Formats: sequence, C-alpha cells, structure tokens
Amino acid sequence: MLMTVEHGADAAARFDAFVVPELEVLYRVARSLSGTDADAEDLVQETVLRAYRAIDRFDGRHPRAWLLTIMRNANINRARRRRPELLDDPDLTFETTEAPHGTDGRPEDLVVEPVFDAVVEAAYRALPEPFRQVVDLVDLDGLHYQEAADLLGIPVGTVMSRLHRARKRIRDQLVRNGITARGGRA
Amino acid sequence: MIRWLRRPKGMSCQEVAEVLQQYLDREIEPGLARRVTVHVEACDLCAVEVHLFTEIKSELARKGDERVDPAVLDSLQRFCRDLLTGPPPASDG
Repeated sequence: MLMTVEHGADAAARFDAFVVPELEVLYRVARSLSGTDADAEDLVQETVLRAYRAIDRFDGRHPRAWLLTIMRNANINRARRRRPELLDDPDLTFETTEAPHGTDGRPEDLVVEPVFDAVVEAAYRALPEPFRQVVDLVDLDGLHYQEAADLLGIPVGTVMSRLHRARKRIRDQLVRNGITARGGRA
Repeated sequence: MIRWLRRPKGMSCQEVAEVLQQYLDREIEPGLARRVTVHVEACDLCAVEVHLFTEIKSELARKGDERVDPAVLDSLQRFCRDLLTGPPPASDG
C-alpha cells in the first residue's frame, strides 16, 4: 500500500541540520560499500529518504552514526537482493592471498621505476575485498574505527586487525621496492 | 661513516609498534599518545616507520578525495533539496 509521509517545517529544519551536512561522508562511504558511483548515488538516495521518513523519531544525537546505521541496513537489503552467496572467512585467508610484486601485473600498471604512489596503488588494489573495505572506510573516507565497525557489523577489534594488516602489507610492498618515503629510495 | 641510531628510554619500540596504527589514527587516549610521541621523537627507527605509515595514509586519503565526483555530490544535494521543497515522497511501507 502506498502512503505518503507528512512532515512539518520543524522536520525540514532537522533534516537540513542533521542530514545535509553529512551528505559528502555518506557519498564517500556509499562509494566504498557499493563500488561504483551509480550504486553509491542510489544507496545515498535510499539512505536520506529513509532518514527523511524517520527524522521525527531521531533524538538529534550523533547524526552521523544514525545515518550510517540507516545506510548499513539499506545496504544489507540491497546486498541480499544482489549477492546472496557467502564468502570464506577473510581474516583466516588473508595471509594466504598473494601480495603484489611491485604492481598487480597488468601491463598498464607496470612501472619501470617503482614510485611511491604506484606501489601503494598496486598493493591497495591487491588487498582482499574485506580488508580493502576497511581501508576505504577509515583511510579514504575518514571514519573512526567504531563507525566502520558499526557500519560493517563487525567488532572494532576486527576493524583494527584488518586495517593494520592491510597497511602493513602496503608498507612491506614499499620496502620490498626499496621505498621508505615518498620520493626516497632505501 | 657509521651513525649511531638513537634509542630512547621509556616505551620500547615493540610497545610503540603495537599501538602505532591507533596512534596515527588518533584512536588512543592522550596520555599514551604523548608517550608514543616522546619515543618517536627520540627514536630514529620508529620515526622512519611513522613517516612511512603517515605517507601511506596521506596517499590513501588523496585517493578518497579523487573518488568524490562533484557532479554526483551536486545531484545528491539536489535530491535533498527536492525532498524538502517538493511533494511528500511515496513510501511502500
């Protein structure tokens, strides 16, 4: 049954105050969760629409956490519709996945002289998805550990473990290429 | 020429390594952060690690900025404005 949501001026003001300022963060996070701009835009639209409908019930505290929870639920629903398959436990298989050798081997990525950005990019792209997702949320999107944990529905310790192992792999790849700082060779 | 590396007293390098990522992410309590800072300022080995991980974080943050498409952001802002000014959205709930 279709129904409409009636809101007063107060609700509009609350939406403006609590939701609109978080729009860029929501877009960044949606980009990390969904992978493409089109999917990210859809996910943000669904999130803000749900927030708009629920704005009267929101207590005004921690709007980002509230919005990320809404986004998480929306994303779970979308994922169920699209990819019902289960993955292996990523924390157990991380060490057995292969780190890149300088680049991920694609011809367009080959660099004669390894440089910082290229090695970071290759190592980042070679991370297993659940590890790259945590790097995305914390390093690319600027979320706190707890925010990333809540969003992914995993313990904060798992966020820290995945993040630290992922960064260490990137770091090790740089060192393996003789790079210890941007623009500097060991 | 041999240059002796400075190794400070206080926290050990291993102890610093265990909290280094939280330190870089500002996710540890201030007192511990100060102790890490004291160590890093006096330890050449840990200073190199901090510098390298800071550069990695900066590069990843830059990637994050690059992924933000201003056109998509504009579109989302329009979507919000339309929500506030247009007719009430339909709900299937």
